[in-house]
Amino acid sequence: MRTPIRTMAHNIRWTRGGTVWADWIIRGLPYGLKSNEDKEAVRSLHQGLYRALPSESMLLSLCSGLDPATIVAHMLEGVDPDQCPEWAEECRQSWDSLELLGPGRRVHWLSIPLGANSARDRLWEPIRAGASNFRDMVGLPRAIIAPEEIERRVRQAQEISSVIPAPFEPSPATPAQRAWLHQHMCRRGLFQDLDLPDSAHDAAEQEYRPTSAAALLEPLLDEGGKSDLKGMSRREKATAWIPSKRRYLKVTDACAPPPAPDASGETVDEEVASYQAMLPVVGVPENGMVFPGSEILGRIDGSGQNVDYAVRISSSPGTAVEVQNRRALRNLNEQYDQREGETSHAYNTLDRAAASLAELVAKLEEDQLEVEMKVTMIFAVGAPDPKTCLDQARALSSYLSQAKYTLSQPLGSQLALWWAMHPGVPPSEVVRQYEQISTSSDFSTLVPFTSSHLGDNDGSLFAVNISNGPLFAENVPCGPTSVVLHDLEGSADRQESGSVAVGGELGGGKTATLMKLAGDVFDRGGHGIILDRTKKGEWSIWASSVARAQEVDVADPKCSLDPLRLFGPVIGSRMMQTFLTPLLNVPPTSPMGVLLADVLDKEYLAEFGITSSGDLVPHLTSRCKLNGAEELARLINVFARKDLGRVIFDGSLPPLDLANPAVVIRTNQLELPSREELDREHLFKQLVIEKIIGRALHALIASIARYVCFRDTSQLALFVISECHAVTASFEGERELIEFVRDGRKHRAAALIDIHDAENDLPSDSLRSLIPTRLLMRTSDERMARRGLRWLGADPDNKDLVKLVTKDTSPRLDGNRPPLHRRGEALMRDTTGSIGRIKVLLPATEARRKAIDEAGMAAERAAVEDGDAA
Amino acid sequence: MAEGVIAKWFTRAKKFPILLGKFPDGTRIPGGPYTQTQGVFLLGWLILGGTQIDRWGTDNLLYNLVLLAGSGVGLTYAIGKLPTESRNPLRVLQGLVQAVTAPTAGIYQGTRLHIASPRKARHQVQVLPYVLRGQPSLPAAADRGLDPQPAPRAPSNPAPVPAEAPATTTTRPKSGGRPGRSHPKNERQDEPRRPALTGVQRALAMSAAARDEEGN
Repeated sequence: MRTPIRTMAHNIRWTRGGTVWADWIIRGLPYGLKSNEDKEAVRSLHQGLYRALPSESMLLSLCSGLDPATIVAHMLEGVDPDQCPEWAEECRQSWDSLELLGPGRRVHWLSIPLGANSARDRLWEPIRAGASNFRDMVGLPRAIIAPEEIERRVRQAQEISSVIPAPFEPSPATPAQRAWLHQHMCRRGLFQDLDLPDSAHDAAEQEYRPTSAAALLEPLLDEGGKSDLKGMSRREKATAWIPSKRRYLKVTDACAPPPAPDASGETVDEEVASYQAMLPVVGVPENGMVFPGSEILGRIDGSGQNVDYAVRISSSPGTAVEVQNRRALRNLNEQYDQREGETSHAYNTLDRAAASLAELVAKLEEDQLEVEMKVTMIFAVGAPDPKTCLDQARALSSYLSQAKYTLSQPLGSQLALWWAMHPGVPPSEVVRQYEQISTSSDFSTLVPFTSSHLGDNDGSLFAVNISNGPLFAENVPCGPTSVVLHDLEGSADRQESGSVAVGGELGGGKTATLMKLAGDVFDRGGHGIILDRTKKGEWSIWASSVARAQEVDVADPKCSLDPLRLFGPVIGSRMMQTFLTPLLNVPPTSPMGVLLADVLDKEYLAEFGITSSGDLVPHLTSRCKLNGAEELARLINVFARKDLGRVIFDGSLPPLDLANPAVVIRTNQLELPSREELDREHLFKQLVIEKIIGRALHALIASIARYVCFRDTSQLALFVISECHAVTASFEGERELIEFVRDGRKHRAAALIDIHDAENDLPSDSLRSLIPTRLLMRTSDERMARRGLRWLGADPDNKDLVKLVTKDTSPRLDGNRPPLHRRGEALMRDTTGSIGRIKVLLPATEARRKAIDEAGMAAERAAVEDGDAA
Repeated sequence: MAEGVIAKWFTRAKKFPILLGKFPDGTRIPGGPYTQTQGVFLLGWLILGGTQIDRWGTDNLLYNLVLLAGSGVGLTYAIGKLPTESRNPLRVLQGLVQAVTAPTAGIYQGTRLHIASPRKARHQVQVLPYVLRGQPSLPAAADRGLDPQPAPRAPSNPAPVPAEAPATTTTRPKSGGRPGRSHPKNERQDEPRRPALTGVQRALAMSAAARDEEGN
């Protein structure tokens, strides 16, 4: 058989067999960890799609490689490498990491023959195809297809695509995409294909755009790889010749040039042969499949193999199969007669067939829109050598057998099945033999067109998508594994909040995740403030790897956070009043509150030359003539005299330089009141000074961060809050954070926070829902895991999900740290609401990665010390 | 479809084995029931064997009949036991034959590829010395009627010229990477770099320059 394509135009292909097909790329619908209601909606859309299909159609789902160069290009989108050399270096290093990982993705394809209902097309098209084949045979030039005919076919295709449910976003396949498909089929398992060409992606489009027939590979097809026997010794041949051991197809490029020496003069061992095994489904679960849980096509990547599959569908409306059903009933009755008196279980078999037939007929009669579907599902695996290919085939069969599906690897039919996976090839006898019968509502439970895509199109390389399953080992993903890009700046441009919240237990990897995100933002030219409450100052350790980072330890300050000195009298006085009000516990309209407002008035400050908080207390003590000034001074002095007050009131300290891109403020020495202490008056009155200062300082830092991050809308700014409960413990801090998250998108600012318990650490509903990107890392406690899942938007009552979070997310094996390839796992909800599993990638740059490791080790030491102390 | 509902396959409603257990008059077929394939095979075997009995038979008619019927029954029984995976047994046999008879060099453009065995090319060429008087030796282009370009003057001591890069370039997977995963090797890789990678190239150049500076 020759390559079926005769002519291509737009998304139409004219075949040598006299049929015309239209091809579309289909968007996979988010599925993965969605709630059951969402899954039912996806299934329902698939049902709608099947009902919209004409009598013949073909679904294809393919594993595509993802070119590391393309990913790096997306990482550099919108960033000037000249201005951000650290980011350029990170991208270069990421390229190397991606080469090792070998990312991929799944491409969904739909092909439908056109004009099946038109007698004219069915008559004339084979004649035209025959004439064209004859011309080719005798060497005459091809007859051009008239533009009117192309337009007519395009219109036919548009009529079909218009009834495909819109969420699938059918996009007409371009000739370049079809050339990619053909090449993918010929090189399956060799990982040599680039990304699927996209009109928006010039590189692959240029690579694959066919300009002549020579653009399509000319495959040399060798059933059973018999050509390999030629070079074997007699002894090897003795076992290798047995046909049943060679149930595969060897595909080579007939026009491939011979191996060429590389620059060093060595001959590169080219893996030009692709060994492929085609496995049709021959057995289905007789007792049915429970949905959700029946999605064998949607979850095929969970097998860990790079599997392609084709589903050839022949569908007929219920009314059209009435005759067939009656014939089946007659045959059944006759079989009862033929097998009467037989000593066997034959009647049981016939009874089951009769019950199944009755159920099918009832389904078709109940719903007038229901269609009967005859589907042939063919799976294909490929590898550079026969042994790996057969191993993959066995592994895939074993995986599907768990769901009670049986695959076959028919001897002598591998070639026919390979062609059956090509759009444009008519269904052969082999295809008919493996047909399984279903209805649109039943077959839709296999949900083939799903996606586990997470994250943005551009941005920093944040994680690997492990929705198919965790990595088997370092750089060994489970099936085609895509990457997750996160674009904080892009979120702001899309008028979405770029804020991210990371939940999980201690040691789950929250801080490393925030460090990764923050580091990328600073490398990409952003700036921000980091509130570090960790005991060992993990962020300070990490900040040593960031250029021009400055640290302020409020317990032992080397510079001042005095708002009057940082921001001047206009803004500083307002901030100071916000700070002093909770600190002194004076209501704003009380006599003391009014006095405070008078003293912090910008004109008053200018009149008396008060430029710092340090000047304020002496002024109130000696020079201020206002009533109650001395009492106010004494009250402020209660706090100003404390070591924790130095960071505000010590005038000898230099002010913090806000021009530094990264500022780390350590507050681990500050104590904080609990919600109960703030809510109950008698507890509130007994608050110790350290807690009062801690509460006010955290609110002040949040206020400073908001001002710093919001003042320049041209630059991305971050407010990183480690141990977020420290800020949300106070109403002021929580309010500041809500305003920051709410208004951040308008100022290109984002908050990165980590939490332990979503409901306690983010007490406000609005704050919980305002942060669109959420991560839930390992949470061993079941109740907290359920709360985390609810916050994520997943089903908290789903036992599998709870088990996933508590037991199978970065699991500690034998009580030790998780193995390297399992660290950083999390469930992620992105800005679109899609939920999936990821493994956060540490920075590719060695220095930054080392800094995160050191910070992590410091955290471990702190945990050990805490344990010892306890 | 409500959540937790069982989705069914209806293959067995229509694809159940059609067996023959009785003759048209209602009497049971001995040893039955048989599949249609078995029935067709046995019938065909008996007809073929019966019509060709002159070729294979002996003088003993009874012996011939017993042999024909016995072999037919035996083969029919064997067909019933073939592991067919719901396929027609004859198709399974056909697959086996196809596998055994598949061409050793593969199929190319729909036809069996036959690679001729190597043969020695023999030459009988006579080369005669002859120079056209009054004309310099002509460049090949001029011979073919093409516009002859003046040849650049060769340097007296020519520098070695690097061999032209081959049309096909290859990339090798990085050590430690997944086997076989590399960029496509095809003829168009020596085309100008892709426009999408401009930023990447700049980044690479910058990081390389930065490393050089650090090295210095």
